Amino acid sequence: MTGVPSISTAGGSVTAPTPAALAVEEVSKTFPGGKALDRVSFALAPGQVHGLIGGNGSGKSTLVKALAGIQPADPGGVVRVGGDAVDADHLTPAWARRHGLRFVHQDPGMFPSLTVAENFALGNGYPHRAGRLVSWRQLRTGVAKLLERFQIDARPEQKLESLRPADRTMIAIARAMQDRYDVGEDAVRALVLDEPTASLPKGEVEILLRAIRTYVEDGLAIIFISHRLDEVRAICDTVTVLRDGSLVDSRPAAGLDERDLVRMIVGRELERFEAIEAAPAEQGGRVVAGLSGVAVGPLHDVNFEVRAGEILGIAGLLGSGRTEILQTLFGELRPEAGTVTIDGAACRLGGPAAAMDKGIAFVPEDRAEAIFPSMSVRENFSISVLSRYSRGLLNRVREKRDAKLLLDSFGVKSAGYEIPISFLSGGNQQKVVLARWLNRKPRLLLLDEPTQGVDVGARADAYAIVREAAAEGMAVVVVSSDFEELAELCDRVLVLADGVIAGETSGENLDSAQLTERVHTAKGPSK
Amino acid sequence: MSTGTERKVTTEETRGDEKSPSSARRQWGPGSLGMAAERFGLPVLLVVMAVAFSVAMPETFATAANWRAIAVSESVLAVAAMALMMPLVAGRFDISVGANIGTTSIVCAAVMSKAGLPLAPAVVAALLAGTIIGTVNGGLVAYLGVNSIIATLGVSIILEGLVQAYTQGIPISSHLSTLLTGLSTDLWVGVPVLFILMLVAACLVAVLLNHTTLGRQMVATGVNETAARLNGIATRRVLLGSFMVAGLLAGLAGVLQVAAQGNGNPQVGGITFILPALAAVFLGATTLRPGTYNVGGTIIALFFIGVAVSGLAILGAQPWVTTVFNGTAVVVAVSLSAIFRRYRTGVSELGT
Repeated sequence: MTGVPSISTAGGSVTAPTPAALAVEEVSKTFPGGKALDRVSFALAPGQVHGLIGGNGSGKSTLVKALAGIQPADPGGVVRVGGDAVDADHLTPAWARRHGLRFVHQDPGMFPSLTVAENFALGNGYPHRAGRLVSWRQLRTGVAKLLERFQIDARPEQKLESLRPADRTMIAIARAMQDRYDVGEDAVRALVLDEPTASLPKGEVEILLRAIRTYVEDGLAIIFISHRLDEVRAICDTVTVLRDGSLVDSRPAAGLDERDLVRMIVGRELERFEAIEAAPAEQGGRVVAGLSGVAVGPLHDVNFEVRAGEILGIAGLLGSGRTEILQTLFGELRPEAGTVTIDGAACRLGGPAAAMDKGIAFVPEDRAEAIFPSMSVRENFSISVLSRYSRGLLNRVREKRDAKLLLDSFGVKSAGYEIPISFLSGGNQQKVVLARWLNRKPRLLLLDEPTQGVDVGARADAYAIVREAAAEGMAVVVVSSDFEELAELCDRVLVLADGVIAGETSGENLDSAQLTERVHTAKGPSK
Repeated sequence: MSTGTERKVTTEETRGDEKSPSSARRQWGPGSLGMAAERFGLPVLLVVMAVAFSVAMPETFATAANWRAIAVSESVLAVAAMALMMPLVAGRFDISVGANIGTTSIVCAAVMSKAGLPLAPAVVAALLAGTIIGTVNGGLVAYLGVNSIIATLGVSIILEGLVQAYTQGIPISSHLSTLLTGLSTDLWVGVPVLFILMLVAACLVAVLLNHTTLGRQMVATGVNETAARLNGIATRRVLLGSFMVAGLLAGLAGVLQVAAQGNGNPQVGGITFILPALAAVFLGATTLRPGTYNVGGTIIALFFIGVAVSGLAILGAQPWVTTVFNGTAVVVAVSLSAIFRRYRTGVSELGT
């Protein structure tokens, strides 16, 4: 409450002559670990598409959550929408909605098996007839009108899942904007699109971008969040760049090229990047595994090899298919084309069990897919090596001895090995998962976002564990959206874009700034 | 004003979100008082209740005959409870256990009475029939992906129909092996033999769950099926196995049912028959080893329910009181185990 009065400016009297559609003033957010946002201010005028960009951990998501009222900011900041203002720490989801802020989140809460009309109704309420019966006809005609207005190629009674991805995203956007047409222009003043293109195939992105341009023609303001800088340049009037929670700059997009944007994201001037394929550091290790010509999901022609003792990173944007690479190597996904090679021989992996037999281990991105919460730490260790203890009955004495050994050698902080793993911190749970797999002495370890949600100390431990195992000849493939992690941990990093390996860095060129630039600007071969 | 109130609400919510898991963790941490109370609350309650009934009715309740009656009738249900427990451990439901017991008790009785064969083939036939039923259930659930409640409900109704068709509703009580029917009154060192057989079965089941690969894989599949698959466990085969063991145990319960009742009764089976067993499985999961289905807890829970029902009956309660008590026990037991599980893991789910 200090300084900035909590006002609802009736006359819109304060600063700008034409009130900004959305203005963020001095908004901060402090987490126990530090400041995620530090006095960030920017504004966007009606009729603008405003790009919000920054690397991982720059504070974009924190800002969006603060604007949506999901995770209120610290006291001291102010958010203005149209003529109304609210203290940033008082902003609630209800306030945001009432004052015309709308959000389309990365996972916009759509129901694929329901019809287009029902998806609209579930977002904004069903129209009713007398007696609280749903008026299906009114809903259908209303939705049909919206689809026409937004030029979406769909009918109200179509199942959402039968539409192409771009149309589905457009429906999520139309749903968020619906009140602007049903209630009035002031009902929806600003729209926040959080990575709307991340899960779209390349061809569909253009359709969506073209549509977004038309939405602002009548004075709506849009915040467009994307990691793809070519998209930002293509449709944004103004751009705000965040880095480490602070505002870097907020200015017109005209005249900025991708290199300028990368420089702002990374925070320093980059050497002109030499696009030569850095010769893979021949470490003499023999090739353990590889993909050749693999197509699956968003991937269409992926080729690479990983050698014994090597830690190979894969960098790519969300939706680039980085996880699919690991899933293919673990037999979770079957390639539509191309082959998985293990020890130089083509290999059809029937599933995780088959991959494990080949000496492959996989730590998935989501820890919920790795741990058995109510089972003890001991049982979580031994689950992947049960046959080792089984001669008719499980040898629990050996199992306990091994559990004690693993606890100690991996430095897991736990009150013994008999307590449920859910009692451990995230970092220690992750160490248990790593220990479980390394205990199998795999030849190839696949790590998907290995330190997501892991505290700094445990992170360093995890790196040490992986490095040590690699030094003993294990091959490692790491997927991570944390470029500093890749730069620190890996010998060599592949850049994934447009479904292919678009580049590779290693040795001196391997730092997080270079990776940021390469990932954001990488392009596959033009079709 | 309105913003002020909104602020208060949000901060309180956030604070609640941040604190509740950790404080629950502290409270329910290993070795804490809450944990001890949770683990041994039910056994203590069982003793207290037994003492209370005994003091109140020394002439009728606290007699050897009454205790033996409880032991015999609960023994069949205890084996039924173990059968129910198998798929539950792996995250699935087997409604058909009751009907399976009804069917296998008829099979057991018919082999002796109608086919005139001795006890041994009758027992083998009942166990085999139970296992086959379990295999069908497991196939439907694990390989066709049918919802387990629906699949086993359907199988259950089919079995009840077949039993009615075969028996015409008439119990099979002639030409049964006296070796079997005598078990209901046979004692060994003063303890009903039926009860001892049940304990032997319970030990075998406990060994299966805690000391074999299949048991561990069943638990893992039930706790986190995706993680189980990603750790190389053949989850479908494990699920099939859990239903097969359930069927085998139901077959054993069918044999014991003939022993306890002295005939093959087509009226036995169905949901109400296994209701106390179902309650016991869930209630048992809140005791001894809270959060996990466990054999010891299940048997204690079953006798808790059995003693309560017996005490109430001797006190002169109407028969409907038993039914309501059993139903209430299921609801309370499931709620309790859901609550405890939420404290432990932050998520509440039970078998589907």
